[in-house]
Amino acid sequence: MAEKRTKVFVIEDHADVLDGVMRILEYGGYEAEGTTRFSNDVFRKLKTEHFNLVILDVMLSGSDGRDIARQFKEDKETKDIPILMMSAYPNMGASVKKAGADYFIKKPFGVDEMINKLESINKEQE
Amino acid sequence: MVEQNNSSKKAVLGFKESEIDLLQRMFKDAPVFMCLLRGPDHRIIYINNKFRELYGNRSFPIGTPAREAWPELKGQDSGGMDIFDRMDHIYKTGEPFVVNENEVFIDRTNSGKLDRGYFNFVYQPLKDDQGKVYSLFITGQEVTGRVKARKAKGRAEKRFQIALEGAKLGFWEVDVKRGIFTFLSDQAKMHLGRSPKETVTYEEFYEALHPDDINHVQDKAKEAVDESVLYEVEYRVIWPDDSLHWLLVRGYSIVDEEGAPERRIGIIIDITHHKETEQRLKEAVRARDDFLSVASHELQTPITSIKTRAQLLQMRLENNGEKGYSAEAAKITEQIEQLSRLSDNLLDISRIREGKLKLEKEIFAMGDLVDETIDNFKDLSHHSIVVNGSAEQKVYADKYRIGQVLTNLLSNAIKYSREADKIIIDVWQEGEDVFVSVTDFGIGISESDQEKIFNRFYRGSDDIKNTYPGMGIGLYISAEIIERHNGAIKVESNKDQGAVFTFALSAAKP
Repeated sequence: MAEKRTKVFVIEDHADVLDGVMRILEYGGYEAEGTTRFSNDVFRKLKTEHFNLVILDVMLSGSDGRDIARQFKEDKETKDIPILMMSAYPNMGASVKKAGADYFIKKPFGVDEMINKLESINKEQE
Repeated sequence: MVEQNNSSKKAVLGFKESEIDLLQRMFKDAPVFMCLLRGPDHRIIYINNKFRELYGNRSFPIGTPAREAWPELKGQDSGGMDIFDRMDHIYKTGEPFVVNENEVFIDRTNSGKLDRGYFNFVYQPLKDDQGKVYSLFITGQEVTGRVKARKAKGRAEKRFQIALEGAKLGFWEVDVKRGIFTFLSDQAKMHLGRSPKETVTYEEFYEALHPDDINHVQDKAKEAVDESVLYEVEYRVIWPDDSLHWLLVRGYSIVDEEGAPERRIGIIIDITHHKETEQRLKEAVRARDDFLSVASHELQTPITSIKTRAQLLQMRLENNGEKGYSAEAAKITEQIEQLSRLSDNLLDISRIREGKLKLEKEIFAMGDLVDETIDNFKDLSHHSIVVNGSAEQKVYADKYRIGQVLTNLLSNAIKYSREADKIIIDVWQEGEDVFVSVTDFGIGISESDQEKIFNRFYRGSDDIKNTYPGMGIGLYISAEIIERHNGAIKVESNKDQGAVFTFALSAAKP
């Protein structure tokens, strides 16, 4: 289990999927916040509050998660936050990493799978 | 036999007797038929051997009028006139007459049965001092064989012509050295949008070609010349009315004594309709694949959500000690996994079809992947999964895709061995290849089925019990994935004795 201080921010346009991810995070003992809509306010929040990880969907309604990942990596205040991107397309791994994401998980993922992924990320980031 | 009076050899017209002998012998054995008829009723005076051969060497008594000797000739044509009327006419007018390839039916065997023949005739009237005709000298040749051969050839050509026209096949011949058409059939011209009356030059043909196809056509022609192969090319032409047409051309080059191409001869056919159908079919397939791709992707969103909830529910029930209910929740998870795999498979099928199955290769230990894959199955079956071999063998491959193959083999092993309780996975290295095999002790696969199981949509069934659910695309996709890695996959099995699926991949270079 992760320590309580690990703060995760989730961007996923499907409210129900977002809720599922939040529950997994809660189950895993993470402190989590999330949104279905990425906006400048969200970007500002991520710049000012210290998050240890951003979980980001690739196909968002109206935008491409990879553009958001690029935006994060170009900004000096957010470039160091690790990004985990998720997609139902299995071959997205290379593409999201090119956009700046650090990790990739394929949907649909199980609870264990996500928890294991988060733990391995934590270990790497230590 | 024609009775010839050889005993009364007289010198006539100043000929010596020996000269008359010589002439008689020449006439007798001449390669043309000859016949001398005297008087207005054309009585037989002389016929030579060649003439008699026409009638099976039959003899005709001297003095017999022609109408009686050859009654079958009555009514038959000789240059627009009855044969006997022709003789009468020549006798009367004294004008010689020549007719070639005269079709005449004669009674060769004296059986009453008439046989068709073709003859060249020369009718020569013989006149006395006063210029009065007293005899007809008829010579000629039978040309039946030649005429029949020519007619047969004509018929064959006509048949060929009809076949070409019926099939709308155009025919062309090009003088390669001079770069000109030496022949272009009417149909060929029509395929180029021209009328049969027009002349189409080689330059005009190239002008009619769609600009994008010119290089292609030239390359193909060059290739056919260089490699002496069948010239076959599809291209578009633009007709004078600006409409676009697809043509298929096939031909052969004919070389001169030095082996240099001299002429090219071939056919041309309009395939516009075929091309349009092909295009529509391609669009339909693309639309279907797009739909599959979007549909399977869209399915993943609710699947993700349901899977998470079912697992969380299962965990909560377990923690609360509600064992029965948690098993139900586990069942939901299992079925969701299956639904998810099915949806992934649909996506993969369309990717394979479009050749878009991309690999993201990395170096990983096969043993680790086997362990991770087994982890996903641990709550889903009662089988104990035994792994033999060390985890050190490394491969350079797409880990996700190879995981998919393993998942597929493992879920098949579970599905087809409900009565068994063990599945064995072996990992080993031989030379430069890493092998993985999955062994089950289930219903097995008959030899005839083994050939088909890697085909699309093939599904194993047990005649006695049931047909197993699923679309039968898992092994097809697995085989594709292994093939894309330049690896190999195979199955060994006997009916009712389980199955061993083995795949091999190149080991990662250290």
